[in-house]
Amino acid sequence: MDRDNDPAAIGGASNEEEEEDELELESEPALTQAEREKRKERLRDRMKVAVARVVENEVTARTDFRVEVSPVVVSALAELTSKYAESLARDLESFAHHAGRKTVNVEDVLLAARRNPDVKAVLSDQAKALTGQQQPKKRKRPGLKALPGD
Amino acid sequence: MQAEAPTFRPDVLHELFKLVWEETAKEVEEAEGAPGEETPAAADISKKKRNTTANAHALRLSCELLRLLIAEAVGRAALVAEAEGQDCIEGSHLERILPQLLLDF
Repeated sequence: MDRDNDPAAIGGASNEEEEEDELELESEPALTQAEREKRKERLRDRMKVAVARVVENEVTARTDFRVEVSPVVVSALAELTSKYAESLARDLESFAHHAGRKTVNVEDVLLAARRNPDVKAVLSDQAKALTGQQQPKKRKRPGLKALPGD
Repeated sequence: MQAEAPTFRPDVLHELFKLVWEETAKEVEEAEGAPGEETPAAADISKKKRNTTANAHALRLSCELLRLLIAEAVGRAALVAEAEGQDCIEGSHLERILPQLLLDF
């Protein structure tokens, strides 16, 4: 899993760089197409590291049947995640605008997950944990283990 | 939260979202047919006003949604690999589960 960027490196070194990105983006909203693509490319690389870690975690969590994941699959999943995130961004924007808002909030994300009740349930639990301090009983759910069709 | 389970970073996701939203804002601007060429300064101000943002909770939740997508993909692909008696998830396994996965998310 460490064949692309070492996951351990993300905590320390990349932090600074990221803040720099943020500042640039804030101060200079008019980016050229090329700059934007370059930036996206870098974000995709970041996402890939995160995907690799999630995959690793998922595989090691399995106790019944040990599997490995081929690097091609990790790359494909990273690509999928980036594409999905971009389409998610457009959805969320549409939802927020439809509600007359310019800020995406938790409800928009829940709406984005409307097609899968199980995913939605997990996310609502998380949303409650995030927003409502008045119900501290539900902290988190470690993960989604079963979906219909499994 | 999610101390032991790795997930995506909300700030990275926010950057990506903002890039997409900038693009759509630009498209909208073009579609509306901005009368002539505005001065760059004016364009910047109007764009800043219009651009969508996201709150922190929404971003965290989006990260979780992406994590679930990947976790589910790996889980389903692992089942296919297991059914074929292989101990490594290959591209073909991913191909098998991808259509249904995309319908489910």
